[in-house]
Amino acid sequence: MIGLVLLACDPGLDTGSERVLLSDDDLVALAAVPSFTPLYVAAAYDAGFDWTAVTTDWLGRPFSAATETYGVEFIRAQDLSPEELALALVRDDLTQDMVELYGWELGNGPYSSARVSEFDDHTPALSPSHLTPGDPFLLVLRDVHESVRLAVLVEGSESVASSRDDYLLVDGMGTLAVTAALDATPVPLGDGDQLDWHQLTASSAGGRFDSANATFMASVPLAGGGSATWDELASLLDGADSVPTGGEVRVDAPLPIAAATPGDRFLVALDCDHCEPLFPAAMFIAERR
Amino acid sequence: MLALFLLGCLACSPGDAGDYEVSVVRSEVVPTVFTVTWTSDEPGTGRVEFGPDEDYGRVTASESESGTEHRIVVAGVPAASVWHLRAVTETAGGELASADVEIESGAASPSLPTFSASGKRKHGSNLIAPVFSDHPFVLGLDGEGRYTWWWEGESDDVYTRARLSLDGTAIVFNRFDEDRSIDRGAIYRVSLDGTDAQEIPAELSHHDFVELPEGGYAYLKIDVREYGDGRVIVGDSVVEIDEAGALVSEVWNAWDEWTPPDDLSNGFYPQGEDWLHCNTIEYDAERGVYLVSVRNESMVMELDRATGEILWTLGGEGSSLALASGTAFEHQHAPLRDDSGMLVFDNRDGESRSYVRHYAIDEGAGTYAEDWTYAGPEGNWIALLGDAIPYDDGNMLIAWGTGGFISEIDSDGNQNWRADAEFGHIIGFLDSVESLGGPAE
Repeated sequence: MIGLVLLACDPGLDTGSERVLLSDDDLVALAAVPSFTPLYVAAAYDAGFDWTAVTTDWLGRPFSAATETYGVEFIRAQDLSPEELALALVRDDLTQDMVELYGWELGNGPYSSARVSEFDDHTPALSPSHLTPGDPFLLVLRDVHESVRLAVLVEGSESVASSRDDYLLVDGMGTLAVTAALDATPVPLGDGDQLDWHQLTASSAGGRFDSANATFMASVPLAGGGSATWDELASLLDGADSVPTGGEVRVDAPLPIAAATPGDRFLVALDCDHCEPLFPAAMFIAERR
Repeated sequence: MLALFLLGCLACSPGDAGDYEVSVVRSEVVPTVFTVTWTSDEPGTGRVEFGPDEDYGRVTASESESGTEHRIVVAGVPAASVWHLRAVTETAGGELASADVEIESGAASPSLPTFSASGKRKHGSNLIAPVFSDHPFVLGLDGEGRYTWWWEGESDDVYTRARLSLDGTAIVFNRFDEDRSIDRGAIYRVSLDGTDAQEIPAELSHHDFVELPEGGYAYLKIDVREYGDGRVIVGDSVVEIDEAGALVSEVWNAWDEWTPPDDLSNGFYPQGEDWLHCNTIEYDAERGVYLVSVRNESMVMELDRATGEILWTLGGEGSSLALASGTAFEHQHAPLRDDSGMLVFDNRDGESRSYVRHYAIDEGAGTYAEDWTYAGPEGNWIALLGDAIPYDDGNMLIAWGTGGFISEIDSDGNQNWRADAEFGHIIGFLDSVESLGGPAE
């Protein structure tokens, strides 16, 4: 639903322009599907993990894991499958209470390997004894912006010998397939209009929208609708024009839209430049009035 | 970016509208805080009414002295929100109110941990919560889990206690090193608009502090000594400092009272064996006593501020008050006295859940007895921290430490509201504030 608010006292609107109130219904939905090739390790063994061979992240983007990993986590959730846990990480709505056990190393990277016994500084402390059959963990690698770049399913197995030292992570052990629905109902925008997203509550990925993650607005002409893979979406956004939002919740409509011909469509993304989340916080389609 | 709104009085109606302009300036440091200034024709005391719409619903504290120049700090507005306010002057002839002013708060810092809230919180329009992971934060949170205030610390520091200052103009919180390996002990006092941040040295402080009514602070301080056959023991003391951090007095020191046992754990303090692990302190100004939680002894003690004398101990071995009925607490945090006894967050020692318990205390009979219990979620043992704040109507706000969530329960133990922190974040000792803001300093 598109709302219109006219405020007599607001000096920011010119005659004929509108304040366009974005709502959750306007969002382009992102569907993400994680999948894993489990890495079975010796049960209750102080396993070491080495990711120097990893060259792509779970979205298939180049990722030199040995030099770009600045955060490492072992996580097991209370009531979530590994796939559900991975989705919660993607949506950035994993809460502390959902986690049964965890350990992490942050801040002193880059890290190229880790051993389970190194993750003992949280409570309850993670220990090799927690690597038991049927109780998988996610081993999560984050980059310097704390974005999840890879998640690998690790599970203890009685049939794996404990004589091995480090387990080698390789490309493709964890993948994330993403589809963006570009057939969302367009939001009409005109010259001089002001976009207002203070009522957004959901993110395009299905998590919670946080206006703190909207530090710039990117817009790019959009031809056609349908759906787009992550590669197609990323390629599209690479060519986008960006304007900073200055931490405000209302900004003037991006210039390319204001200058466009009526009926032209644009993909508009609210994104964060310095936190670099996995996906833009919110995306919608604008149509020039 | 500084936001400035000037609005003339557009619709003054006799008797309820002031004929004055109102200036609203948004803080550059905490963009949810606004300073409202205006001049009234008639002398009076000013206040600001504010809220999400023109019905307002919240009000700041009023000025204490009458005048025509008014300056009020408005805090408690959620980040990235469009709210409304009006300035009100109470004069001898009645109240004069300005026209409505629309205000826009800025977005919060992207680095703040997110909270997911459900239900409806009855009390505390603003919670003041220290939260930490690899960074520490002090957050103001409204009932929907939105930020109303924030302060971010440096990596490897920990904040465990945050309180609204006694005069209501600042947020006061502590800082110490995450692994206690170096002394980073300090108390911070940050004005509501964030523009005045004082770092008050608090040598070897940890866990908790309390502001004193006459100014200055009391805090828990470690006292590391060599003991016996080459052992190094971490003891505790309670000290008072002035507003600049200069030592005023040592109220109490464990080394003057007791001797360490033979079997102590290592791990929490890299300096040596963790003897008592005092973890919270409260001050009862009316009675002149400190209430100190001594975790490793599963004991709480009341100290006479003037003499440092232990008035009584409750719990643990050698308790001066005897448990008449119920379950004794273990590894507790945040005891709080009330008229009938004491509320305490009972972590337990490695069990499957934690509790909040109330004990009736009969000092005359020398006994205490459990008379109320609230059990936390099964399977969620709170190993570190934990806090409970009771309200007069029987509701209670509970911070579940390492569980990473805060809940409000009613007098029947039903959960009204809950806010869950993002993965990896731990909740410290809270303050609950009905109204933030008021006359500017």
